Amino acid sequence: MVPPALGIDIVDLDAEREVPLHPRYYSRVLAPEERACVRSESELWPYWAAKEAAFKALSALGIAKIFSPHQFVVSPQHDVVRYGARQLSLRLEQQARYVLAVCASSAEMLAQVKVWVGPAGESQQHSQQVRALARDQLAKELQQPPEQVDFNALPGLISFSHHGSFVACAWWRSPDGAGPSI
Amino acid sequence: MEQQALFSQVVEIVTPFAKNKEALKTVSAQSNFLKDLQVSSARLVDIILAFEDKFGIEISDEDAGKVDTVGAAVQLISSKQ
Repeated sequence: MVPPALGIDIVDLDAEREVPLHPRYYSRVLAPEERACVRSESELWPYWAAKEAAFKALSALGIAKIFSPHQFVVSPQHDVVRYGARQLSLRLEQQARYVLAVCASSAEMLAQVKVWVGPAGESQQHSQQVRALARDQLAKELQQPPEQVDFNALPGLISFSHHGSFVACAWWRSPDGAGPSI
Repeated sequence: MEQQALFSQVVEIVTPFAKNKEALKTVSAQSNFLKDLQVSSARLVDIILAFEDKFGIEISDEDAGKVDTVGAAVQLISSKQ
């Protein structure tokens, strides 16, 4: 059983169309058992997002220190990511312009996770934009003014992602006030 | 290979994946792939694979994880040649 952990990743499907993938991309990032399930880029990006989300969750716990994508194995049902003997629950959302993956320690925890997606805007400062999105949403959740939201003292776990035209944030409110996971 | 020539080849490989074209004009050894050049983490895989092809080397995921700047890439490639 993995302690409470949370990770999110978003892939802007329009952002990576210009340059074709390297011919060995699939064999580099996919586990052997995943390769039969992935035959195109549109099928690849959900797997990539799931692996990144799982890595964020487990690296925040110190369980995964190196991102070896093929070691994060997505189940054929797209509901679980395995990393060695560890297992995370997975929620995948595929929209016309993006793919969103959220990983949490259990299905029960995952059901409690709130996710917010917004536009990245014109600025290059996407890490600031995703935090602004999170601050506004958490202010409503916590019934605080946005300027009082402290990411280092949240009663739960939070994870950020940004890519291309999108920013995304996942938030889980813990009953015992566990620390942040970014 | 001289470091300057290696630097130029690394920049040439990275260029198609860099979303921040302005940052490419002032690219240096300290330029961070993700933060400065706005390469997405997904496309860092392509860059690592291109390094392997171009320089005839193998790069582990552990080494790839340490390649955060242009200078770090030059050092890694240089150490494997």
